[in-house]
Amino acid sequence: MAMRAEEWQKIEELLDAALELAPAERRKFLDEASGGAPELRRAVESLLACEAQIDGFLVTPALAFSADFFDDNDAPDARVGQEIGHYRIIREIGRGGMGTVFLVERADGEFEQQVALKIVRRSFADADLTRRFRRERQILASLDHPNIARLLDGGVSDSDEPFLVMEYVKGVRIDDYCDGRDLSTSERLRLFLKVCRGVSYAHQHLVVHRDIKPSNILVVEDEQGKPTPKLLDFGIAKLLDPEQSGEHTQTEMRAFTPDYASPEQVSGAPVTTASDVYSLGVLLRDLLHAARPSPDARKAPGGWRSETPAQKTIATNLPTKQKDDDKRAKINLRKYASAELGNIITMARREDPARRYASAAQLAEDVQRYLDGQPVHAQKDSFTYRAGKFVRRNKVGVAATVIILLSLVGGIIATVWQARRATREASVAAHERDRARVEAAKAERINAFLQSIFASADPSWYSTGHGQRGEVKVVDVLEQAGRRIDSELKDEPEIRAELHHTIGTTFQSLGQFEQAHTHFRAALDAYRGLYGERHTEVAEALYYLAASMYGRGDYAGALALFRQSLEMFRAVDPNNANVPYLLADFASLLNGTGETVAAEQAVREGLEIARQRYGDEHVLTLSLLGMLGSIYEARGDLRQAETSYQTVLAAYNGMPNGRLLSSGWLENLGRLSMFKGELKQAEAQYREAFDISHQTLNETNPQHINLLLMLAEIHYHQGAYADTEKEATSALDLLRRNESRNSHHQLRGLSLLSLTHAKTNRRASASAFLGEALTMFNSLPDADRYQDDGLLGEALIALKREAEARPLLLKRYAFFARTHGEQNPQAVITRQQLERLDATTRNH
Amino acid sequence: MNSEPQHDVTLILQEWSNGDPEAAARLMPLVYEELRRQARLFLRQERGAHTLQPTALVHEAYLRLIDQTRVNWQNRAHFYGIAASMMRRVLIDHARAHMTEKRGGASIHLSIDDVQVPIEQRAASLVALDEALKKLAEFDERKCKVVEMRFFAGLKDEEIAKVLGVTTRTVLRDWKKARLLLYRELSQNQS
Repeated sequence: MAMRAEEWQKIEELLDAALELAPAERRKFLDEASGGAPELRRAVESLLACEAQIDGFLVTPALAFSADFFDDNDAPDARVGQEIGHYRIIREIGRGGMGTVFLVERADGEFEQQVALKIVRRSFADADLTRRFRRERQILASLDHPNIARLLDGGVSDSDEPFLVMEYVKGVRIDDYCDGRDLSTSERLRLFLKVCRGVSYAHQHLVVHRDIKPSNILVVEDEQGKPTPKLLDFGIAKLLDPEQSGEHTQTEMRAFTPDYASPEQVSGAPVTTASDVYSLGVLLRDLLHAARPSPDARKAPGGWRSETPAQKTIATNLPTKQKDDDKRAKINLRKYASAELGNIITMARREDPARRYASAAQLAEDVQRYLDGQPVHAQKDSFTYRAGKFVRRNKVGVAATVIILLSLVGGIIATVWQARRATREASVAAHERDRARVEAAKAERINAFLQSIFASADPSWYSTGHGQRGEVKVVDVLEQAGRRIDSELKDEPEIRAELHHTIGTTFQSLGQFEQAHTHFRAALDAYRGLYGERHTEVAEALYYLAASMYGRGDYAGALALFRQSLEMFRAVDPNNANVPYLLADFASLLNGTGETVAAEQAVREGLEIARQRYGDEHVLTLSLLGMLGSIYEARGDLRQAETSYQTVLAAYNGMPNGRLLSSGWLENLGRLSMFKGELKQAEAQYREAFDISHQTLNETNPQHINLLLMLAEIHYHQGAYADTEKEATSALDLLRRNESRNSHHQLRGLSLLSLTHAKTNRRASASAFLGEALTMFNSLPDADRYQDDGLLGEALIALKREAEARPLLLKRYAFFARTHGEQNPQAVITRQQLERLDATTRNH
Repeated sequence: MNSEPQHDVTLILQEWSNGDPEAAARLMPLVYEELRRQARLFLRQERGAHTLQPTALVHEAYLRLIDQTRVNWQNRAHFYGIAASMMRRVLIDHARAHMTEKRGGASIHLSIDDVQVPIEQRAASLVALDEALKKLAEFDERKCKVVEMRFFAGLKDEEIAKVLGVTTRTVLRDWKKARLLLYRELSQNQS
């Protein structure tokens, strides 16, 4: 059935539009655009499915490989009957870059076997070839393995043409064979294993192939149809490499195939067995991602393949449904579960030869493990390596990822995430074996997906994004991953949920709360879809979502979700490992919003669980202890608060890397010092906290920005306005880069700028900053608008807007006095501000 | 050189450009023969080297057949259109001569690497492509032309755009879609 032009027009219209879209968006587009025309849709999809395969298709002009169609003088049969060495030419088999291959037989009738004779192209030959050839020939000829086409003889003909004689293999290119026979993944792998065996055998005989690629591997079938791959031209590349003569230093004629050549081959570095391992990796990749359209293409009604009645009959007799399902399953498998294979390929193709499989045999062993259903060796190392590489690239030390968080008041959330993972793993281990296996499989697929994300973010490949050229940022990678999850894992809600969760957690640790929030929200939706409204996973998802809202400064929203999550945990899974962490975060937020009684209750409950489960030295226990200090502080019991903070700091001092955990507690001490008017000490404490966070956090991390603002504030109080201005400007700039809308930080930054400008007689700009700050202030709910350390009121006073300052300060005072009591430091500060204001106005 | 046919061909080309349908029939064998001759010459010198440039063939044929002083750009465009078709036919005819297997065994790689593949198989691949192109021309002739000019004649996108009177962007899009269609067709045939 040939296609009609009108039919094609419709297809083309959709195809054009779909091609403009990113692959991930196409499905959705087709859903909408091809409504009611499934055949049309299938036709478009079958074409889109080919997109990944057409890269090299028709790119080389036909002429480039048509040369020998024209060779009238030197026609394939022109040399038939000629004798070269002891061989008589029967016919030409093929022609390539390295020479022409003939089918020959022994001219002296010594034996009847037909063999292949390759006449080496003159340009490849060099004066030294004969000598070298004699040296190498014996080694090559000693290779005797079922998967290696044997080199039998060689020499130089009477007309001075160097030639090689080898076993004649009448087979099909391995990639064509796999696709032509529509081999399954495991069949392909078994074939690949045989190739590895041949290579491994040669390596043991100290022969490197140097040019492994599909066209050098032919598959022959025996009578039973059992396929055997045979490697051609073993060691020939080296034989023909002029550099091997030791007399040439030029590298221009080195023979290899770019895509299959290892980096060291391309760069001209010494070639070893590791180079073959690399090429085997490429081969494996190509065999598995074999060129083929999706199964749908075969039955696409828009296809223009003529279908004879006979074909139709065959087609309808086949259990097509079953077959298609099998295929789809196979493709699914290829796409996701074969992540392990992806790891194997990655490991074989590593840039650094020393980090590849040590041998072809080891590569084969891993493939065998995959076939046997055992975990492959390539997996873990590779992921950790890549992840580690990324962490390093982002200048965040490994210790930092552990702590990266320390994000908010008291630095609790930070430690929480890390410890949570550990406990989670422990609880998985405690589960029965089946469950563990399911978890492992899930983790594997998630791991694989992330791995593919990391892999695809290779700087050489990745050219867009926020990073500079050649630099990939974790955030970019994660954003890319985030976008792919929903389209690529559409039918895997559980995996999808886990991934959103994982990516959200990573964003959270990086202080990117907006993105974290998006992913936690998606995870929550997915879990609800899976398990309904009330379930452990849903409770956990709620908790994480709440934490991200806390991070972005949405205190009211976060409080509600913390409550909801806690309540759900208590109902469905009271002993869940998340509960004490949740209590800690919840308490921190409650304390921040003035609910100190509820906060203390939550802290004490959390402390009890933490001490019992993890002991006194555990990060969670210590964090909760420090949290108690924050509650004392909020109530104005500064002595108790200081003792708590010091206790925590002392414990961290005794731990390796403990200093990195100290930042948040130093900040708290700094705040106490500032309140007591000990500005020098406060500055020192803030400075140290800042330095630690500088080592461990990205500079756009809100906690880091917070410390910058604290320094700015101290400097303001010390009268160092230039410093303040610099620090506040930089903080606001970082906030913009973080795309975070943390209103507290912005409010403080703007107020500080207004203050410094006012103090240095730049009233116009001071007013402008103040105006911005006021707009922000007015848009915030009560719980959020007073987290400004009193700076906004101070700025109003500085700009002589006392009439506005007074009501604002009064409300601020009322807020802290009512919620935390009159001894609350913020209440005290505000009261002092009011008193100063009254004194000034009285004097006027 | 052969000045006689030169004038002939130029005249025929003009007639054809002016709307004489019979002129094309007279023009084609001349172009075909010239290209074939050039191809043989060319390939004998350059065989195996990866620097083959089919455009050179078409340009050479143009220079040899056409009197530059008497043609305008439309004539030239028409010539290149025809030359690409003829280039396709030249290559396919020669491939066909080497084809022993009737069907199957055709690889869809059609790449330089295929010199390692037995000549019969390569020939079969080209012939299969030719047949796919015929089907393509039935419902979208322009795309078939684009493939002829790029794959067989090696013309640049900008040149193709001029010949077809479309934008380069359209050529690029046609080229991609044509390859999608051809790839799908060939991979279906293969299995």
